[in-house]
This record gives sequence, structure tokens and C-alpha cells, in this order.
Amino acid sequence: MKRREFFKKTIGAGVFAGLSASMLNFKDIIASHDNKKISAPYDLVAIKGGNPVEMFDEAIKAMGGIQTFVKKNQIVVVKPNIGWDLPPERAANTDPTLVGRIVEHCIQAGAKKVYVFDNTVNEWTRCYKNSGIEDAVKKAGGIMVSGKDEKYYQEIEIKNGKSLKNAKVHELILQADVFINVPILKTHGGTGLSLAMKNLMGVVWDRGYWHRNNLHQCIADFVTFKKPHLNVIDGYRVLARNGPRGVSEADVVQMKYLILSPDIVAADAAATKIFGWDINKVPHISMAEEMGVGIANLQKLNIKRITL
Amino acid sequence: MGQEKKKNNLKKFRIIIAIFFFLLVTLFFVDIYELIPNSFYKFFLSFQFFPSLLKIISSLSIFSLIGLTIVFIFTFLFGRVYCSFICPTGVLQDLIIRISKKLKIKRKFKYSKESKVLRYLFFILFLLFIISGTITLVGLFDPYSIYGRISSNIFLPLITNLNNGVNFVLEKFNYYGLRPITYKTFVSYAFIVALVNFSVLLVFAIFSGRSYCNTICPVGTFLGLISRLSIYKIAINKNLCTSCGKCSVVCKSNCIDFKNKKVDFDRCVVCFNCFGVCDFNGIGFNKSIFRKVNIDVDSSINETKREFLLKSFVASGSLLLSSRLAKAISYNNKNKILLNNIPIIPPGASSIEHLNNYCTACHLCVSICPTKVLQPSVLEMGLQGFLQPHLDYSKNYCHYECNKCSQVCPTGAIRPISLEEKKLTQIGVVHFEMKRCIVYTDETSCGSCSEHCPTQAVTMVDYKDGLTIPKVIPDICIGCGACEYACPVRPIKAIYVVGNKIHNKAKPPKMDKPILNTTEDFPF
Repeated sequence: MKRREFFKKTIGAGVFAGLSASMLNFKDIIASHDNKKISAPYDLVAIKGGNPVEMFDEAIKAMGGIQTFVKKNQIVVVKPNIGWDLPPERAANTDPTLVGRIVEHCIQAGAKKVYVFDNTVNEWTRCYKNSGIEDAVKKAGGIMVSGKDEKYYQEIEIKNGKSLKNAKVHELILQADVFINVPILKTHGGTGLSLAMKNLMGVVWDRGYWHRNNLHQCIADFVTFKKPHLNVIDGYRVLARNGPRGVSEADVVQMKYLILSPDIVAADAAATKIFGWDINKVPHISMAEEMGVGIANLQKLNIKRITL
Repeated sequence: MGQEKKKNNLKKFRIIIAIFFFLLVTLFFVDIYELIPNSFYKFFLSFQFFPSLLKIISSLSIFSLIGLTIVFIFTFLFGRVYCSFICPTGVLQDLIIRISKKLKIKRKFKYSKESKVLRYLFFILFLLFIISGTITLVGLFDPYSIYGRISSNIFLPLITNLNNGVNFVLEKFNYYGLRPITYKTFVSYAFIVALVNFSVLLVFAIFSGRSYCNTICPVGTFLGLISRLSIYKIAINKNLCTSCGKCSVVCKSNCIDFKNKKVDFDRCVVCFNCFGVCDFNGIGFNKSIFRKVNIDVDSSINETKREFLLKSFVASGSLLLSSRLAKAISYNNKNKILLNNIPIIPPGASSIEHLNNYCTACHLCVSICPTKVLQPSVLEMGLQGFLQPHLDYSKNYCHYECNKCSQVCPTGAIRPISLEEKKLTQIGVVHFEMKRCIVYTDETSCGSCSEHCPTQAVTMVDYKDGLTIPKVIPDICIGCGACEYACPVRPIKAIYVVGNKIHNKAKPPKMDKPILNTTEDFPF
């Protein structure tokens, strides 16, 4: 009898706690934090010549430190590209040392929690592990979360979307105070290049819909719903061919660049230029600019250039 | 019941070993966190009789040879030790018996005569299935494979759901340490087969102990034949026996004929349950315990003429019947493959024929497949391939960096191949239909197929107005199905894989010279 009672009570308590927790989460969503205007000293920082950690340290310093973006007790979500079960040398995923360093900075700035996830292309546990990102994040004090379960994704409406009117978005993106987007610069068979805006395909559940309904327009549409507070484009190793996955290390070029900007359109435009392309070759950049998401004309921006 | 007077260390020993093997095999099938190394599978599954036998033939595995030799040696020494110590289906039945005793459903067994006709009829049928290559039908009755299907289709879904339930609650409290498990393995017909298997065992175990093992099980019958030659046999000492029947009551195999003071050792599964219950030490191994007293144990084996005639009649009858059946099945099989798409089978299986000849449908590969692309077939490969694995690209695709199914397969139906070899094994070939492609129909960008392709056998080439369109290079395609899975076109995909009936070797992907570093000043 005692045992049974114990079970009853535990289950009861569990259900109650679960319910109240879900209510709390719900509240969070209602009070979802808008992208407040961030007062950074530059619109964009471009840096080259160092390893990813050095470059990030210098670039964020120029931006006034991570404190410009992350305040005490805030919840941060970092979204790198962890799409593939490949090691860092293959440049298909964001450099793990860079992701680890970003998490470290956030924790040092007093972030309450730093979550990292991606809706991977390959089997997710292998991607997390073999990209080296899981280890780096855990070491830095961050938390890895799965992006491969539909239960995390919540239906949202994109009011200004032309092709993409609805999407299911990972709850962490909706709940976090600060959203840091950390893509890797690489080629892409479908969209030309895969950059900061393209990286956001990893925060939604159904990518197939985007591919079916004018991919470039969908990529631009989504940014009208959610703009990251900070974009860090990893251009240290660049997959110069056969992207986004690559076939061998022969496809990789070491370019040693890093771009940092709160403006996702500007960041993508700068990365395209660094790759040596005209921005018209990546149509979603100008589409997003036309929709008022950001500025692609780099001459209008206050840019800090650093060479290490 | 007042039977705990004597120590029965042999029984305790049996229970410990049995639990060890039983738990291990169960864990192999429900290893949702992928913690168990491949070598464990190789080593411990080599003791499973029927799979090991097949693996020796299919891939000359040394592990299996050692495992099987050990089983044979023990059988020659002590009889069907395998059935009580190693066989997971045997131990499952023992568990059922234990529980049903606790629940007071059935508490006592009694001696019953062997159903010889049925037993040997089944056995001859199985032999014919093996000869004619319809292994999957034997697999439906093979004890390891039965337990495999029960684990894979009943236990694994339970464990997965349990994990996901706990994960759900923990994540509500912002604890992300326990990961959710993607769940795509529930297959209704496989579940039904497993459920039927389980129900049969349940009924047999509760109402007549180990009757399944002594009437139907092909391994039980075969080891039974060997156990007739065993050096040590369990027998009753006629001088000490008072025919009280205590031993017979605890005998799950119903093989102790206490009235005539005989043990039908052929049916004995060597569980040692009878050792502790005799008040006079009247039952035990004939050579060690009864060294001084002469007892005859082989009298029960004398076959009468009538029995012999009956057996040969049954044998020839079933021979005819099953050869007909096998022919019909293989005919259907050929037609099926000609008419429909050729099914895609895992790298290492080498050909549909090989898979059909060696797979017992234990569903170990299906259980451990990290992407769950491996699914049990219904009739994709005809009756011969019933419940055997095939790759279902609507579920997922074959992960480029994975060869786990080939490493764990206990029968060698999927031969062990290295990862390098797997990456060049062409299990199917890509086909592209431009007229259905998004780039052609909508004139918008996509590239989903090429994006997923690990060898760039699907590559994007210039189309028009800055658009790119897929181009396929079949030579370097390994047929992993990533393109088919990723293709967003519905309901019929624009790119798909057609299976290779016999696997080919793909050419290695192209690797040109590295591109030179470009170090200029900032371009803006």
C-alpha cells in the first residue's frame, strides 16, 4: 500500500510540475522579447589573418565586448551550422573552437544559460559529436539541445512573408533573450552560397516547403520574422566547391576571415564579397534588403576592418 | 513448498549465466544510446546457434566457428545446456514460467510423452527450407530470431517511448541531458509477427513448460539429437528412486517419467531444477554422481520398426511438399522483382539472393540502424524476403559514415565490410527526371538533392537565368538515397534510387587539385 501511495504521489507531483512548467513556458512566449535596437559602435566588423578564436576576440572587442549584446541573467541561443557528420577540417560545419569561444564570452558576461542547437541534415547525434561542437560547447559551459524532434517546433505566422507565411520554429529561438547566429561561409549547389540567412533554415522544422516554394524568397521571408541579434560568419576554412557538404578536403580553402554584424543582410553581403562574388549571385540578399531587413550596400555602413 | 532443503548450486549457476546472456541480447536490441561497441555484438552473438551456423557458411567467421564449437562441446558433454543457458527464447519462457508460478496460474508439471511425429515433421520441414534457401521461414521459428523480433518490435518501442516520456518531463525543467530518440521503427506487420511469436511462447510456457523447445524449435530438436550422444546425462538411479514424482513436478520439459524411472534426455534442457528436490539424491548426472551404481539410460532410444517406418514416411511426404512450396515461392519472387522496383538492401548484403539465403529476420540491424532507414519488408522481395530488411528512402537515407548493420549482423546475411568498402558499395543507382524537378517546373532554386549527396554523384550545373539544375553521374553513385529522401517534390519525387539486385563497386568520387588560397585585402 505504501509503495502504491508513493507512486501515486510522485506521478501526481510530476504531472503538476510538468503542467505548471509548460504554463511558464507559455508565458515566456507571450512576452517574447523584441529585437531592441542595439547600440554597437560599428555596423560591421571584418577581421582576417588569425585563428577563429583570436579573430572573434578582437572583433567582439571592437564591438564593445559581448556585453553589447548579452546582458546579465539573459538566456542566449547560439545557432551554428552543425548540419553534417564531418570533422572541422572539411569546413561543412562551423568551426568548433569559434562556437566554444562565443559560448565562453556569453557565460563570462553573466548569461543565465547558453543553448546551442541545429536542425541537422545528417543524423544529429553524430553531427553534434563529430563536428567537435558538442565537446567545445560543453567545455565552455553551454548546453546542447536536440533540433531533431518535432515537439520543439512551434507554429508561427510570418506577416510580411511573400512565399513563406507560416513556419514551425524551434522553441529556443522563440524563448531566448539573445539569438546569436554563427554560420560558416561555404558554397551551396542550390543557393550559390550558404551564409547567415541560409543558416536559419536550421531553426525551422520543414525545410522541404522552402525548397518547393521559391527557396530564395522563403529565406528572405523568414528573416522578416526573426533577425538574430548578432551574426558571426566563420570564414576561417571555406568550402569553395561542392558545398554545402563537400566531397573531400580538396574542396576546402583556408581564407582566415571572420565577419561580425548585428545586420544579417550586411553580414551576408560582406561574406559574398570576400568569397569574390557579386551579391546578385545570391538573390536572397537583395530580396531581404528590399523587404527592409537590412542593408546590403556596404558603402552606407560604418565598417571596422582589422588585419591580424 | 518445503523444497528448499538442499543447496542447488548448479541451478543458481545456470540462472546467473542465463540472466547474463538474456540481458545482454536484450540490450543489444534496445541500445538507444549506442553505448555497446560492435565487438560485443560479434563476440557474444557468436554463441547463438542458428545465426552462427549461417555465419560460418556465409562469411567464414572465426568468431562464429569458436562460438558454435563451444556450444557443440557442451552439448556433447552435458546435453542441451544451450537451451537453458544461452537461448534467449528459452530464458524468456523460463521467466514466463516463473511469473505464472508466482501468480499461481500453473504450479506443477507432469510427464508427457514426446510428440515425435510432429517434432520430426517440423524438423524435416526446416531442413528442406534451409536446403531450398527459404531461410526466412526457418527464421520465423528459430529461437534467437524470435526473441530478436520480440525485442525489436515490442521492447524497443517501449524503451524508446519511456525515454521520450522522461526526456519530455526533464526538458520542461530545462534539463537537456537526456536526449529524445527519433522513433520510426513501429511496423505493424512486424509487430504482429512478434506478438504472435510471443503469444505462442506464452501459451506453451504457461501450459506445458518447454514444449515449444521440444516440439517445434529446430535448434532444440537438433541439439536433442546430439544430446543422445552426450557423455554426461541426467538420469534416475533406480536403486534410490521411490517414484515419488517430486522431480517430475518441477520439470519444465515434462521429460521425467518417474513411474518408469526414466529421463528422456533428448528433451531435457539441463536446467537442474530436479537436482535439488529429490530426498534421496536419486536424480543427477549418470557418470559423476552414480559412478558406483549401474544404470541404463539408453533404453528409451531403441526405436521400434513401426516408428522408423512412420518417420521415413513423414520425411518423404514433407520433402515432396516443401520442395513444391519452395519452388512456388521462388517463382513468385522472380516475378515480383521483374515487375516492380528492385528493393534496396543494406551495403554488405551483396545481393538479394544472398540476403534471402542467410537472413533469419531477427531485426537486429533494423533496431540499431541510427537513421532507421532499415525497415522490415513485407513482400518487397517476395515471400522469401518476408520481414528481411530493406532500405526505405521515404523514412530516411543510409548514413554515409556508418556501416553498423554490417558489423552486428549475426548471420552474415549482411557481411562485415569496412567503412571504406561501404563508401564504394553501390547498392542502387540514382535516376533523375528533370520534368518533375522544381528548377524545371517552377524555375526557382532548390539543390536539395545535390546538397545531401556525399559523393556529388548528383551535382548542380548551370541551367538558365543564374539557376542551377541537378546532373547525375551514376558511376560514382552508391545509392544511399539521400537525394531521394531530400527531394521536396511531392507526391512522386524527381530523383530516386533503383536498387541493384547484385551490388556493384562504385568509382571513387572525383577529387581535383586543391584550390589555391586567395589572400587579398578587404574587398569592401
